[in-house]
Amino acid sequence: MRDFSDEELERYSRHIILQDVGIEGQEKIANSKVLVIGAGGLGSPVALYLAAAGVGEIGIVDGDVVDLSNLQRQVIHTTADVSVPKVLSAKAKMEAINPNVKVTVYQKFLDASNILDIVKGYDFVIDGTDNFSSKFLINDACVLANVPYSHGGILRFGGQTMTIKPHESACYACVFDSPPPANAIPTCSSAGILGAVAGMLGTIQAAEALKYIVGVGDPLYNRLLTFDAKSMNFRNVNFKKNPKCRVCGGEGIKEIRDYEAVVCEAKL
Amino acid sequence: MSRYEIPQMVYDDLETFKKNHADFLAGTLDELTFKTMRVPFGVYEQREANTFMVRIKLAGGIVTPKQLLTLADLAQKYAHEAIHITTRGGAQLHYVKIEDIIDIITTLHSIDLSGRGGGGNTVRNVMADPLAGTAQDEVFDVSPYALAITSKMLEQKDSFALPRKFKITFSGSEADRGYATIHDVGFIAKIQDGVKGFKLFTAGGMGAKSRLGTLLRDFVPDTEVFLYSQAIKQVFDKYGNRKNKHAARLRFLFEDLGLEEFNKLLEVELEAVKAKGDWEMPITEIERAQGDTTHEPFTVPENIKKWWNRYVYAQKQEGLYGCKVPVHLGDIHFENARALANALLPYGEDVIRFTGDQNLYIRNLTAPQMASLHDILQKFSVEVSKPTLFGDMVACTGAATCQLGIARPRGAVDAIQKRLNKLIDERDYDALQGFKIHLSGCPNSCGKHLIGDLGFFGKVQRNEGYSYPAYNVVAGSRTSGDGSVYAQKAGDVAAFHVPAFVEEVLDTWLKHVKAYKSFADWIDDCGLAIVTEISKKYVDIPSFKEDKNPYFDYDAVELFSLKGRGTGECSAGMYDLIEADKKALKEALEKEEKDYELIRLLSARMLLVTRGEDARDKVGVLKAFKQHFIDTTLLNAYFGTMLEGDADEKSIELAEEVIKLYESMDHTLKFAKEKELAAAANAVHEEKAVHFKDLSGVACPMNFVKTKMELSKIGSGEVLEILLDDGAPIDNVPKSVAGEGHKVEATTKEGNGWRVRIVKK
Ligand code: HEM
Ligand code: SF4
Ligand SMILES: [Zn+2]
Repeated sequence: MRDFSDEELERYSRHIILQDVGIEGQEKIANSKVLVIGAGGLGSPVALYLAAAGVGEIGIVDGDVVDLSNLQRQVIHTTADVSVPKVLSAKAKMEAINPNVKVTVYQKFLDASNILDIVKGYDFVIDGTDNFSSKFLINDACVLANVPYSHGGILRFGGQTMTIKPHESACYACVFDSPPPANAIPTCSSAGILGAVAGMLGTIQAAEALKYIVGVGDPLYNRLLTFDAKSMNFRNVNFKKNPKCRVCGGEGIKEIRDYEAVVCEAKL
Repeated sequence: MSRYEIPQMVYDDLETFKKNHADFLAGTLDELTFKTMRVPFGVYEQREANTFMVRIKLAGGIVTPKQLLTLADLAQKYAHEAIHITTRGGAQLHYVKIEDIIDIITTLHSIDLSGRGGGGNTVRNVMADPLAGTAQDEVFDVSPYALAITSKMLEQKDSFALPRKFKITFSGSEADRGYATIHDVGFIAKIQDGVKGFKLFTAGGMGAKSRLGTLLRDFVPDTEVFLYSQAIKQVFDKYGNRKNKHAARLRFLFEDLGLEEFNKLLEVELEAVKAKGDWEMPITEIERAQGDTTHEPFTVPENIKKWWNRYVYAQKQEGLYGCKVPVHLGDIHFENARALANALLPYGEDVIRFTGDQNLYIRNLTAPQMASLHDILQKFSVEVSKPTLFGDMVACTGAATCQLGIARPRGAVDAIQKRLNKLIDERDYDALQGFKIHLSGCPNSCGKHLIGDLGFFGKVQRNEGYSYPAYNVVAGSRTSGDGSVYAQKAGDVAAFHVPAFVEEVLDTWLKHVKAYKSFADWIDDCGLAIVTEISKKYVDIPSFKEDKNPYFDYDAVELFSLKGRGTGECSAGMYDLIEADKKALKEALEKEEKDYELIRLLSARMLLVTRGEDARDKVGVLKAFKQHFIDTTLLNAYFGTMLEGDADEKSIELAEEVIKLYESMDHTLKFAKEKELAAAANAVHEEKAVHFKDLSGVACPMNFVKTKMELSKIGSGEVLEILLDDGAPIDNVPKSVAGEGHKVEATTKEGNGWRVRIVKK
């Protein structure tokens, strides 16, 4: 059993008091490694909450630099960070919140050539990306590497998320099969996004990650949570794992390939 | 006789102390160990490193002219030229060098004065009504009792290793000028059926959780003064809380036990003291000069009349007079001390008393003799020629020299005086005869703020992130044998504004002074709200940018901060000794090349103090260790085999075992094993291993968090015992623990808090 210092006991006291977390749960958190892909609208709250929670090691991936138009929702960055690589800006905030956390940065975009190696080293992955090709790539990699992850997506006033335990629960491809054709969806720059919606969804993803690590509650397995902030209606849509799934089914994928990019202009 | 007797034991202790002192100077004795030896001799380090002060016991504040002469010499030679009068009527020499300590103590012994028990967890200076033997209203002279009990207490070994300090005092009348109602043990003179005796109060005291004394006995015959004092001390010694020095004073124990339980324990100790014998205390009355009744009636010369009316009083002995001499902040320049002592030499021994308000009284003079002192006294202090208000201000040493200090009350007194002095011709401050302004640098109350008319104690305030010195204001205390009342909280003021605040409070009070019997009456009637209202004007200060002055305390060259504030060494004691050995032991264990002999010695010595042993040489230490720790089965007999012959690597096991034992010690110095043994002796005994965590002083919810931490370390079915504070902790933690499915087996009151026994689910 790990002996928490008094500083740590105090810092994490509100976790430890929770009967379902306790010392044991906090220890699991401290020993866990989580990869956050994307340091944007979703990645910001996720990275902040995971750092605050004391996740032992957090990897954060993003190839971009901070842009003024990001600041409306990507709350980990500040005005002073404009033009700074997002991962560095994020790392600084996470370490400021909690110096006990080890932050590893990947200042790059993921593709078929590098994603598997990075994902392999983590216990849990957060998809905080802004485009379908990345989302399918992440799904493929997590299934192949057998790493559980949280999918998330947002648009205008709405969001959706599900948690995937490869080979046990439905994967992203079980539900959506493959990316829509490039012109079938509104481009994100024309669609826009309410900043707070990113926060809502990101914090749900952070909570899912922590639930998974501690082993408490029911993760969003086999169900897609969707919400509409205008009406504030939340809905669970149940799915089953597809035995013939292109990715995780019996014949599932054996190797990684890139999907055709449908990159959103207004990065989430 | 106007002196107490220093018993042989103190001289013997001094011989040991001399050796330790030499070792310390030679660098072969570490600082911490030396500290635990010097403090009980009244030698403290001041805030400024490497400057020391020596506290000297003056029973009842009594100083003979001869003693004063020698004190003046010591002050001149060693102590920045001043004798300091303490807030309990003792004396202090400040700024002395550590090299000179032995010379000073030896000289003090030659004039029958001792610093033994001046500081540390000891029986402190015994106080008495400063007017004892002269007051019109007194029942009888209590001074001889203060002297006699000082001698008696100095003879007792247990007077020097108590859980905390222990203060005794005597008052001659219900006016309680000796403050019997706020001491650990306080006596107020009383005659019942023609027998001399005392009302006995106990468990009073100021500081954290101030408490007024409880009337323990309505009458104790004077022959039993020592009997009771010693028995109360033994109760304190046995049951007091040694582990937490902030809850160690007798008043905390008393609160825990309650009057009834305390009395039960006291009865046992009374019997024990009686059985031991030699508890009757010989009393030698103080010889007194006869009043000059034959003299022509004395007319006070016009030019000294103002002074005479303010400061001179007629004693109960017809034709004799006493006189109060205000001493600025309790500091007497050695030349003034010498002049006064020489002038008083012809008039016998009982002519001077130092007082707890840091002034002194002259006594037993005829009117012409007194009048002849006027000129000498004028030089004594500026206050002599002012209304009593000025001289009656009391201030502790504060942050200027005290390591615990927050504010600097001595500087504040100067500033108040300066401000009031400008008004002295416009205001009738003589109408406020006897008004007391008391200041302490922190809540510890060495300046006795709780018994002032207007009291202040230091605190920190912040303005836009900058700290500045400030005071809590209290007002309206009363002292009397019928029940004293501490001054009540009236507000906060910035240190910078204290003089203006005092001026306004006094101006307001002056408007009402005729309508009330006392300031306390006014405070109780409507004054408190008025003082509070005034204080509000004086708490805020300009921003740091506008004016930096309020951010400096009086007499301070540096910006106010708590830097340099340390833990006071006024209770350096047993724990420091143990910690010193433990630290040395850990160092020895970490060394590459192990000195097994040293490891064995330190291991064996570390806990000996808890058994009242102070052997320090190897043979004595090993023998005592065997007796107290092996023969008692506290440690396995296996460890006994390590004590013979040369030490070897097995000493490391011994060290680990001793450290473990220490960790299991509770605040009454009992080891977990000891309690188990006691329980085993009582037959029914549970087998389960008991883990222990002291969470007293840990607030919610961290106490619960730490409990969970401890539970996570032990196996299912094992037992964890924790100590929790009273109040929210005991209300919440057991519930939460039970809520998580563990079994809370027992909750028992222990010390100030609770012991909770938990079985892990
Ligand atoms: C560096 C530490 C300290 C210094 C220099 C100091 C200084 C003094 C002095 C010089 C006196 C008059 C003593 C006498 O003549 O017997 C005194 C009295 C007193 N001390 Fe301290 N003290 C210190 C720590 C403390 C602490 C920690 C407390 C309480 C927790 C305390 C509470 C008192 C009280 C209540 C009195 C005054 C009055 C009385 O009982 O009549 N002191 N102190
Ligand atoms: S009241 Fe505080 S500052 Fe003053 S002497 Fe006592 S401990 Fe020091
Ligand atoms: Zn699938």
